[in-house]
Amino acid sequence: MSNYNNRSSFGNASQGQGFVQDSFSSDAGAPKKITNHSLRPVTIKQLQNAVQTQADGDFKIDGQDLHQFTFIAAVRGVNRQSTHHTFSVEDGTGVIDARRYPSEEEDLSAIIEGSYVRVVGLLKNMNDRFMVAVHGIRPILDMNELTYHNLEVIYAHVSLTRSKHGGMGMDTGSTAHGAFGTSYGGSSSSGPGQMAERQEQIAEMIRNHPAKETGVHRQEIVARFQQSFGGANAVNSVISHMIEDGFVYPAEDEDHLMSAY
Amino acid sequence: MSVPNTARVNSAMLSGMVGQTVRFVGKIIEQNGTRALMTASDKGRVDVHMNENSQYGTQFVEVIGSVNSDLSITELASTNFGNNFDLDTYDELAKKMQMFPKLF
Repeated sequence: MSNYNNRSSFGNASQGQGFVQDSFSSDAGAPKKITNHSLRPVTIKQLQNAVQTQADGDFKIDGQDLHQFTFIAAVRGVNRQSTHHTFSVEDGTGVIDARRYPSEEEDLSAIIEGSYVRVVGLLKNMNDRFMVAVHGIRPILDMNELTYHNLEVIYAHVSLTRSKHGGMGMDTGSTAHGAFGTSYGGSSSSGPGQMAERQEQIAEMIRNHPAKETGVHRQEIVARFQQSFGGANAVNSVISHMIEDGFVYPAEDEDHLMSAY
Repeated sequence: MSVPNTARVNSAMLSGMVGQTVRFVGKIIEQNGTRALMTASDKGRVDVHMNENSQYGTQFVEVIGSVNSDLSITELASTNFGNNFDLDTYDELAKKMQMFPKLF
């Protein structure tokens, strides 16, 4: 995905400032800040459905504050004024106006009707109509960028919406399966619900263990659960499933286990 | 042109979309007048009735059009997608998109 580099080719000041801000604020409360200032890949449908928390306030998508975002869309209308250009763009999920106030040396003549463009910008509410204040806009030269942008949209949505440890993040029904929805079919005598429950118990123990940073020894997990699970083999079988599914992974050696969440 | 809401489809999805407007990316096999035969991202073959103003300039083309009952597509608009487009990855995307109606 070398095309990622193209994002920096906008080369305009407003984007640059965002990066500087990030590096200053990254020491305190880092995870939240990084989320807020990252460039979120979105579809126009997500923008049109964004929730505005106050009359003049921030927007939210998937319950997360929306700051700078990027999308790919086809230009369907162009209105060139002396101070700004307004492009009507659509990506198959919705349509929105994108307005650019070009800097003096900026040439927007390549942005024409029918072309696909990459847009970076902020969402604005103008008289109850959402529009995009464009920070950068450029034509798409390699259409594979459209494929990976939409895959990134899915990835970002799934990452932000699935619960801290579990759920598949799909829009339909998956959360009902609980935290370890993919790990069905453990021991034949126990139903999938029991398997998920046991995995959750073990994950919980590892997460709350004093040695969670270096790994909890398998023997300790077995000792804790062998009575309730019905033997050491039953415990080891649950652990094997968790390793297979990536919920737990071996740390310094095969017998020290850490939680992936 | 106003076609804001169009699903991305491969050839297998066409049968569920008769009468609707879709977005289809394929590779041109042959073009004869205003008819184009294309390979879909899932390897199926799709007949496209081209818009008479259209010029397909590259091997890969995105066609926005309505699905006919014989599962051909009547084009409303098209975009050249170049000669280097990964249809396999695109097919995975088209299938994934159906799972996320909130996004697409």
